[in-house]
Amino acid sequence: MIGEKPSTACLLRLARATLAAAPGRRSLEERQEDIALIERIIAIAQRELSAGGGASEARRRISAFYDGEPPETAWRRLAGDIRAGLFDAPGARRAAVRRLLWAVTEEKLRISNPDFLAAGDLP
Amino acid sequence: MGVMPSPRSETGLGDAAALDRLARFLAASMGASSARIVEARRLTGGAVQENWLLRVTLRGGASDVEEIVLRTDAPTGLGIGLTRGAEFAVLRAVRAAGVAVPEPLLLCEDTGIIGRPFLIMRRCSGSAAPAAIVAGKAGGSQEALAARLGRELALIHGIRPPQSNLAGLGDVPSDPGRARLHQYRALLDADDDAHPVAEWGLRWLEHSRPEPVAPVLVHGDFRTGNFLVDAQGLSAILDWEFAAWGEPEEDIGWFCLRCWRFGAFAREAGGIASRAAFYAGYEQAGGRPVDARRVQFWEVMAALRWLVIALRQRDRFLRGGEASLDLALTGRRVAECDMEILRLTAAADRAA
Repeated sequence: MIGEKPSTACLLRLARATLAAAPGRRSLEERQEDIALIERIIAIAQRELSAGGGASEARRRISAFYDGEPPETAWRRLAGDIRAGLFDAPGARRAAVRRLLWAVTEEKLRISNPDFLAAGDLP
Repeated sequence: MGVMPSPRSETGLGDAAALDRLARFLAASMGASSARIVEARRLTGGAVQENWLLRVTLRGGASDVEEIVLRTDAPTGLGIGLTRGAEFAVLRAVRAAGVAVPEPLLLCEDTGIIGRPFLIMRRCSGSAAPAAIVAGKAGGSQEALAARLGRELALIHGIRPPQSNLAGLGDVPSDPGRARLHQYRALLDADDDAHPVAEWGLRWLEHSRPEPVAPVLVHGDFRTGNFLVDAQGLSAILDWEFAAWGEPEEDIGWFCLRCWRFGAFAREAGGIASRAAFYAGYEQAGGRPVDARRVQFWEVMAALRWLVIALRQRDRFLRGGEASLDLALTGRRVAECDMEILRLTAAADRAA
């Protein structure tokens, strides 16, 4: 699967269930930790909404790399081809795959952790 | 996703009968006529293990212990790592070697007390909160803390096999790098999804593997968040469940991995200080001279390892029914590992 797991919708459901649950034996410290994590989930959801709700450009590029194969099967095929050593040799093909993988990763981090993304680039 | 797990339930220590059995166990083990658990509070952190702070009043015994920490397995674990018995043996060995660790007091492998084996340690002062540590709110300078951590790591790595008291660590691998690759490959193959970046990293590691060196005791999770710092500086190194025989650079690469810098990305030694300060402390305390190329290999391995662990943590939420916000969000950290695998291998390829 190219997309992120758990999905943002799933994270939001968990956040809601956590807020709705009785505090029980959870300490104040644990509840504060919960709130911080829920804030992170809300921020992820906001960024995903702002980005249009999908990882379309990365999916398009992966599909294009394998001449229009559906993105999910192309993603699996790419994993198999890397494992088989098809891109081991230095050169344009290896560089193209590296850029493709970077583009997918960049797209995910733009939603999940933009600070981490901003702190580094592909050399 | 199909089923939504219910929010996290508390463990065996939330049960009054279990607390009563535990109090009786503590009294008997510590030579007291009776013990009363005044407070049992689960400490935050610890996705793989649970840590409980216990305030205990002992009557009629020689011990003055009042605050202890009970450490036991989380309800659904990663399926990797040491038993509590093996971890207890490691704690005793590293403490004898002079490493700053909590004093191990008791081991209980009888599941009839709280439902799972556990160990008891003396409580140490300080906080392990990464945000405060990378912000420099702990005692002493950040460079001094990094150097001290380097020295502690050198003491750990000074323990070499064979050690009859550490049989719980298993066989000593002749080539720890190769053993790790096999382990992570198997864990990755057990995941239903395709992971091209992890495959990219595995392929690079297979082709870049340095000659193995003599194994040493490695902590296995030596990073910011797994040690306590108080006003005086480092007070204890925690969380020994992943200790193993391995190569020293495995711990160094893990400590320096960007995923463990908690936002202080420019300070490459755990978000605390420069690598130079950490390496200097390590070498001054007798650690092998740090070889940058070996560290580079083990740092890529660290990114791959964290990726594999993050997938398993995520599955504890998605499939294991553990409704933990922390576990669920760990699934979203896989992309950080992807980024580090791509970045580090690109830098290495460019330098080659």
